[in-house]
Amino acid sequence: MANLHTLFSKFPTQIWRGTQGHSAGTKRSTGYESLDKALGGGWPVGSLVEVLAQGPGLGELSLVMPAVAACTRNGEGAAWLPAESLPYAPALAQVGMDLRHLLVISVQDDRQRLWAAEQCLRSGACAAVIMAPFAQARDRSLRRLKLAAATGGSIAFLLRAAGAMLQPSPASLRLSVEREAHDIRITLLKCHGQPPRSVRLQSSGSGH
Amino acid sequence: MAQSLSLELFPEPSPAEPSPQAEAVNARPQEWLGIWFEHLPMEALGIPSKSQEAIALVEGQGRNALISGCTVGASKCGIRSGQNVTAALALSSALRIIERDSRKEHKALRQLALQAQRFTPTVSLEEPDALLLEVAGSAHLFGGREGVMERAQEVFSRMGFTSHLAMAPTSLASLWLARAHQSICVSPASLGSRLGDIPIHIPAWPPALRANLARLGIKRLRDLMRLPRDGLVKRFGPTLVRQLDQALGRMPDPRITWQGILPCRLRRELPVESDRLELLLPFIMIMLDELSMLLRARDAAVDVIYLLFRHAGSPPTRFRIGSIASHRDPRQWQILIDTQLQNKSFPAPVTEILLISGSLRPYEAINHSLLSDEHDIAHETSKLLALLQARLGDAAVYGVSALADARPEQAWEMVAPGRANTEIPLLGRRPLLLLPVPQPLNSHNGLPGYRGAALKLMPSPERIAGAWWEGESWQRDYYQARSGDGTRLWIYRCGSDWFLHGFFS
Repeated sequence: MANLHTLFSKFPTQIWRGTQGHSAGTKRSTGYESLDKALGGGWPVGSLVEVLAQGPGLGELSLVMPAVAACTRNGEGAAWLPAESLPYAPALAQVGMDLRHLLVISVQDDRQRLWAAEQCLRSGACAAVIMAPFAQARDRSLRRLKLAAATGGSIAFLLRAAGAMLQPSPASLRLSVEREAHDIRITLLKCHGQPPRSVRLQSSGSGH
Repeated sequence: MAQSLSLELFPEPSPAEPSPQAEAVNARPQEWLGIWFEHLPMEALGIPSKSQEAIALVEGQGRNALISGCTVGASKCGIRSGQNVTAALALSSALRIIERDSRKEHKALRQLALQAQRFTPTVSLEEPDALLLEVAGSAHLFGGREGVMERAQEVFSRMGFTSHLAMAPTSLASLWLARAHQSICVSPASLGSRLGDIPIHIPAWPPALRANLARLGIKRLRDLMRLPRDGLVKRFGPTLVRQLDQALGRMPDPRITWQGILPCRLRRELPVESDRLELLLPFIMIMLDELSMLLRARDAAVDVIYLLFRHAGSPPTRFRIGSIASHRDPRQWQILIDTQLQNKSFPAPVTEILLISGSLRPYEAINHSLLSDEHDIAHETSKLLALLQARLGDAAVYGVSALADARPEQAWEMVAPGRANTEIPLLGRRPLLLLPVPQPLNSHNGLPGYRGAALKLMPSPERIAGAWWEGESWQRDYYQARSGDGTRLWIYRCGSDWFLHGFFS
């Protein structure tokens, strides 16, 4: 028994114990306290995060906005690859983003968009990349994005339709977003070292 | 001078202080080399001025056609500048008349300036046919002042241009001395007497002024310098006196340094015709290396490169490869060229490749810290931008900026990445996502519906009107709406129609 304990203490991160909490690794604060606690610090840096929602307007973007805005205020770049809707500059300024460090890349072809996202993640110039839904995101492309994020030390936020919940994905963090009355309910579908659970975010005064 | 203890109401200025203007002029002694190309119009067209053939240059049309320059052979027949063409033809029947080409002279002067840059970086153009070089700092590298003059004359005569050189402490003095055919080095002490010998027609003053001076009996600058200043200013205007002051070194005479902006042009003929990109890339790499060496020699970098592929029988194929930041590293350019040409094909086998650089920019070196291991984010960002633009096109990558305009579509604009302004607009709450074109909504009983379900409108709408001063007469009532499944929408009513404009995502 004593030998087993010394073994565990010698390799704390390599051996995962069933009751162990979250993985080690740098985290970036989400901006929401209850979410930070649930995720063990915040968004995991160097990985792919999937945010699933039924459609636009359910609060999936405002979930990731505080972290991305903090990156830009810090001087690190951020990139956004939208699909049809445009990022609206006045709203971004209201949320606290420093627009000088935001790069918008608007390409219609999915393959080009994946390539552009990979370049942004890998370069190290962008600390966060927001990607709008892809029509077909194959497992291989998602793995490439995850690898690029790990190489560049950035966070890849992939917004997807809720139908993709049933597809397996290599993302290290998957959550789905719904609205309940005035609050946002976040279901952590996949989080390293945790069983699925849900967190409820109180809305701020302005009615997010 | 002892400090007096009493407070003086009107303190006397200390006589030992020199005036700031004189101090500025005496601060750093300058050595100006003035070079005058006497026969530039003729030599720019490739005609040596010492040729025995009778050739003359003509300026003007029809009745106003006058001779503006001629070779030695022509002047032997009696032809001079300013004569009428018919008179000249009468003097020599074998005379060849060529029209003057000011564009070629313009280009020739710049090519001469480029060669002059090997003596000093401060080369100033004096249109139409002179150069001014400031050589105080670099004369010792060429063997002193006489050495510079000799070498410069050699360089220009090898290019086929006759030049007259003179060196003086001020730029205007060196120019006038060169024009007066006096190739001498003048020291500050003898500047006044040397300048005095120069005839009145040398400085480029208007003919009316020169006629006036001649009428007064003034033949040389010395006579002018003897006259009282106020009288000269009153009679001939301030320019004359100012130029004399500048030539004598009493007033500063700043000159604009010419930045050599001639682009680099490299050509390579292929030994074997081919239309496969991988066989063309090695040649492109060689040309990129050559370009990098040329840029290093001029301490410059480029931000745009044009590649021209010539085919036998088809029009040439052109590619433009641009980059956000200017640089001269051949490997960087290779990555950009690879990205852009990746899936492109050629209509016919390529016989020749031309590489033309855009205008040269001064090279800005980046300081990397020896000990730090964090990325230089700005450097990485510019590399990323160049890569994205090379593959996706310039219009696909941009930054966004908020504008102060009440109309929602005009409240933002696309800008170059990094150039956004950081004001926070004082507006009501705005949605994070905006639809490019507002989408019409179905309405039941006057209330809008989204995807079949009726929308619930939140209180406090916002009324936004068009720019009535520009003729836009619309008025929209903007509401925040909520649908059954929780979607937050930004909708507006115009008249009696409802439209969807954005999502509060």
